[in-house]
Amino acid sequence: MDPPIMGHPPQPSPIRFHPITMGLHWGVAIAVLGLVAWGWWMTELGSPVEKLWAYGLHKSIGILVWVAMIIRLAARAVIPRPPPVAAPRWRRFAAISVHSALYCCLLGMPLLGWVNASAANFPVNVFGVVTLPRITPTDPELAALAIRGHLAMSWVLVALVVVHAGAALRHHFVDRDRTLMRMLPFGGGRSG
Amino acid sequence: MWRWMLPTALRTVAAMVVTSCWIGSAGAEAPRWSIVRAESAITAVATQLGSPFEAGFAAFSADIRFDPEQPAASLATVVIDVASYDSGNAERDTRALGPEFFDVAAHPEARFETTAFSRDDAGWVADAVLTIKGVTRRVSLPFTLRIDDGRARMAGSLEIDRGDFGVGTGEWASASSGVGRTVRIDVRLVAVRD
Repeated sequence: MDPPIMGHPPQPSPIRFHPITMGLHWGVAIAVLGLVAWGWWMTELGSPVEKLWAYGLHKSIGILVWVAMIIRLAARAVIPRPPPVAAPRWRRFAAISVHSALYCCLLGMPLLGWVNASAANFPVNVFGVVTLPRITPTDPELAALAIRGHLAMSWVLVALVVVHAGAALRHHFVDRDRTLMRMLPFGGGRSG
Repeated sequence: MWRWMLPTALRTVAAMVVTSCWIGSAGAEAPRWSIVRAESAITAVATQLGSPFEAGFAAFSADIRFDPEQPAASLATVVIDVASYDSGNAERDTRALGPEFFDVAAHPEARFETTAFSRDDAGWVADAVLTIKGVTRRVSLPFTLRIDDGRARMAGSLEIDRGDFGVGTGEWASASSGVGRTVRIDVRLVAVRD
């Protein structure tokens, strides 16, 4: 007689990312592309009233992205992930590096924006629903430093997105593997 | 403007008459108090997109004659150097001091002059006339007061509609500009008896 099985049998590795992971990935992707374009555009606005509202929307969406990234980071620990696609060691290393840098930018940029607003004594009001607390005292020099970092990171982020999306397309069209399909909710043969 | 200046002038004359009667009858003038600048602050709390932000007026002077036992003989005048407005952001300060908001070039001073002090269970109330950007309005400032050994600490707040004073014109006049109409003024003064 077989001994009773303790716990669950091992789960097969998923073939796609979890729907929550996909939702966070694509939601953040769309929001961030919008935020970067909006962020560069809004600094050039002539009307100070429009500027006030444009910055308000930028901050609101930026904070949502920050929260989404914290959830995503936490979700990595608990949601099973599909196994990595076979690739040479340098490409695995490059992927990990780019992914880590993306996390750093997506967590760091909203934080620097928040530091800038706090140090410049501008409230951060998320969609008129909640006002975030200030995280620094008033300090014009710190505000200037934070916004320079925020802007510099926007260029780094754009470069990372280009590399990340380029690599995904290369996997799909050149290597013809499942890398991109794992993050898409449809298509790609066997369903996940 | 004239609507306010005449009653103000009358009140001033009346206050002088009343004060001199008081002095004549009681022979006592309310003692003078000097502000302790390091412990005193006048702050304006305005809103942007519904969220509050504080800005201080670093420079102001106060002429205070006050005796809690003789409220009718007590007077306080606070004159604020509007140019000392500091919200922590140079761009916003420049805009606030510009013609659309305080128009500091034409109106360098804001003025708070009491017309009457009264006391109830909740604390003190100073009825006053407040002049900002050349516009004078009647206001009431409820405040708490503690006097220990010749040292007075008062704290109070009053809310104004910035539109009443023409602070924020053109596209800034409406709250839909993102800058709220209601502004809270917090006053915290520490004074010592001369």
